[in-house]
Amino acid sequence: MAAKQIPVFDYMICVACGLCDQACPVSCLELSKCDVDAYKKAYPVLAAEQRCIGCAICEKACPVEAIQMADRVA
Amino acid sequence: MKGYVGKVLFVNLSSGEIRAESVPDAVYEQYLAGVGLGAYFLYQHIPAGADPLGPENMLGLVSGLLTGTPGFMTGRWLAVCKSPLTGGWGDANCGGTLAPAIKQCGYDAIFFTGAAAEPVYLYVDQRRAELRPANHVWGLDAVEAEQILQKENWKAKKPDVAVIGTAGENLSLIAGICNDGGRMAARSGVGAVMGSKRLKAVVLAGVKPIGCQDPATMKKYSKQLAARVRKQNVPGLVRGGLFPLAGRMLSRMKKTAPLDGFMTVMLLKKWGSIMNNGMGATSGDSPIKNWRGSVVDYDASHYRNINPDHIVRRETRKYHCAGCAVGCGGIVDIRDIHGGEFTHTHKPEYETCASFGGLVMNKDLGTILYINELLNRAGMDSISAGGTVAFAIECYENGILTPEMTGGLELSWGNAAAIVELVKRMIARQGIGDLLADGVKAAAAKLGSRSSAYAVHAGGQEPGMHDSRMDPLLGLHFSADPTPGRHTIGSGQYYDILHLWEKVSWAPPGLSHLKDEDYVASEEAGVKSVACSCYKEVLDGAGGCYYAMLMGVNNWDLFKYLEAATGWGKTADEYMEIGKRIQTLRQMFNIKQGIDPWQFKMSSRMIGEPPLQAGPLKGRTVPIDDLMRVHWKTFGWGENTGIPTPETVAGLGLDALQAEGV
Ligand code: SF4
Ligand code: SF4
Ligand code: SF4
Repeated sequence: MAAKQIPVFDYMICVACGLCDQACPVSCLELSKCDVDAYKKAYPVLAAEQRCIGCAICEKACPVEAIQMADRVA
Repeated sequence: MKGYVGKVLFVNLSSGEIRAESVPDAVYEQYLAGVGLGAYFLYQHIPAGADPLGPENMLGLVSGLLTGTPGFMTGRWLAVCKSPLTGGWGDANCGGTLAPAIKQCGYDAIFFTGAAAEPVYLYVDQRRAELRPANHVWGLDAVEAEQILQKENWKAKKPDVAVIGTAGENLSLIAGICNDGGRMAARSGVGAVMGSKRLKAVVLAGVKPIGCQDPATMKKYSKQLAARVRKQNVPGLVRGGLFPLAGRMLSRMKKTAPLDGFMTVMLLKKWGSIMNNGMGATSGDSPIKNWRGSVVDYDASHYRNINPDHIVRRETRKYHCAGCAVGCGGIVDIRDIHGGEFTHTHKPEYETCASFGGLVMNKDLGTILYINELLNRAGMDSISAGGTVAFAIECYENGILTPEMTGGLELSWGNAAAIVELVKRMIARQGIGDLLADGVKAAAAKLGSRSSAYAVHAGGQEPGMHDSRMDPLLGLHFSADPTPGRHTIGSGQYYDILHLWEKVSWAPPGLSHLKDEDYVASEEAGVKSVACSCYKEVLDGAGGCYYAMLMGVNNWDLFKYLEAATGWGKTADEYMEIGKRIQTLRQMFNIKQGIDPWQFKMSSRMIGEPPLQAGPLKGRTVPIDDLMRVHWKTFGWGENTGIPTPETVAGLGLDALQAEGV
């Protein structure tokens, strides 16, 4: 069963620190979005949405509150 | 939760016994986590005179108190042990994702004693810890072994892996421990200790969230910092090629003054530590030609090839340690080098560019990038390896090493092909490489006394790539730290950047002053160096990054973060007292292990005896004996012995440990 809620990232706030990726208990995030800034910093994406359990651990771990849990669009 | 977990894991590799132990809160209040927790246990557990490569040595992987909390730049772990390189306290620091992974398993630290009969790895998650056979990955390099172990153990969370390469397996005394594809806790020979225990790797797959007292306040601080970091950008016109000019200007300045460390953020964001390539040569910071040359030798025709822009151009993405807002790391494409043997490598650090650049007079950037990957995979320290290659070249130049001994390798300055081949032989312990694989001190002991003049080290450890003749307090830390030869502890310049006087009552204000004054062993020099030492131990107890330290406490306030995480209600002075306790305990560790602190005094070349005849540091000599005395005295250690006095030991509450430990 896929989760009801999934994380959504605000790349205007996110600093690509990777703590969300590290905290995720099922490693469904990936630091692979490198087109946000000119530095080629690797920002997080929900790479394996089907594995996400909607636990919001990533949201809680983020130091700058760049993650919001949102309803999954079917 | 107050940032720390409150539990550590002990693994006896001889008996296979694994046991978790709760650690009282009072221990964290006195030692923090990280290096402090390491010192607390190692001092008690390692018997005097223990063979660093024997089963009695204890190896710890320790995570910082702030690691994994919302405190930015606190994702650093350390390997701690008795160092086979110096015979005293050993530690090595690394980032990546391993530091939080230790705590996610439910431990602040994992300690190993004994030695396994056959190669093993330790698997840990939040429910179990078990030793498993590692024969299938023994003999593989650190990157290959990590990939295999990660794949095998990836059930839900992708595991993090600490692993040695072949250098650690071969007990090279300059071997480190790797994680995240070749990042390395490189110093002190920690990889040899892991190899001696036949422990190939530690696989961490825990998923426990890491809590702290007041996450909202920590996030508030981090948001403020993140906003400032985001705005801190290098103007488009500034190019790497301009840095040597800046270095030249620096070298001509007669005065020095406090600096705002936040400036470094933009340089780190764009280039990382390699911003100092070239600039280090012209300012005098980079040691050249095994510490006997200068920019007169390693001139523009050399250093322009290691312009940081040439490296950043190869970057495919940046790389951050977990929890870092700055991100000084990167992944660089090297498919065009050495027949495409490797696709990519971690962006080399300045240290590697200097140790395989100016130190050996090499101007071929491709060689540096290639060696960077060779060493990352082998798990061999690039600072020590470069220092040892420079030593070998000078021995060859002076007929101590002959073509017969080198197997035909022509070890001349800047001979890139020969340098690559020598590094490969050191990794494989093949031919002359076997003699050199344990660093300069061990090699000089085998080659005879004539070679010792070329063996540049402090207490057996090859120094970081920053010239003590440019900054005498740096030389003091090279010589007086319980882990000698380290450039990351303190210096006059660091002191001016740290701005500790804004938080710590006894730290003297940084004032504009003549550079010449730094070459006097004044009482103030003692206070400054003690302040740097104490602060560094607090940093390493918290898991903080060296570059966060160099932002200054006016920009990255470690004390504020610690308070929000723990709610202890301690002042900056009280945290500095913890730093003093940890540093004194590390020194006590050395005394217990029979080290005479004078043994760690840096080599004559690093002192400037005789002084250089050319370049920006011409004529400079560091009054090292007097500096060591004033430093020890200010610490409350014997002025002439470096041994912590009974009053200091008791005043820091270390007397009970001493009674138990010795
Ligand atoms: S909600 Fe949970 S499972 Fe989903 S990405 Fe975040 S941490 Fe991972
Ligand atoms: S934890 Fe927050 S700031 Fe860090 S990468 Fe994830 S979303 Fe971005
Ligand atoms: S500044 Fe660099 S070394 Fe320090 S935490 Fe950030 S990425 Fe890691």
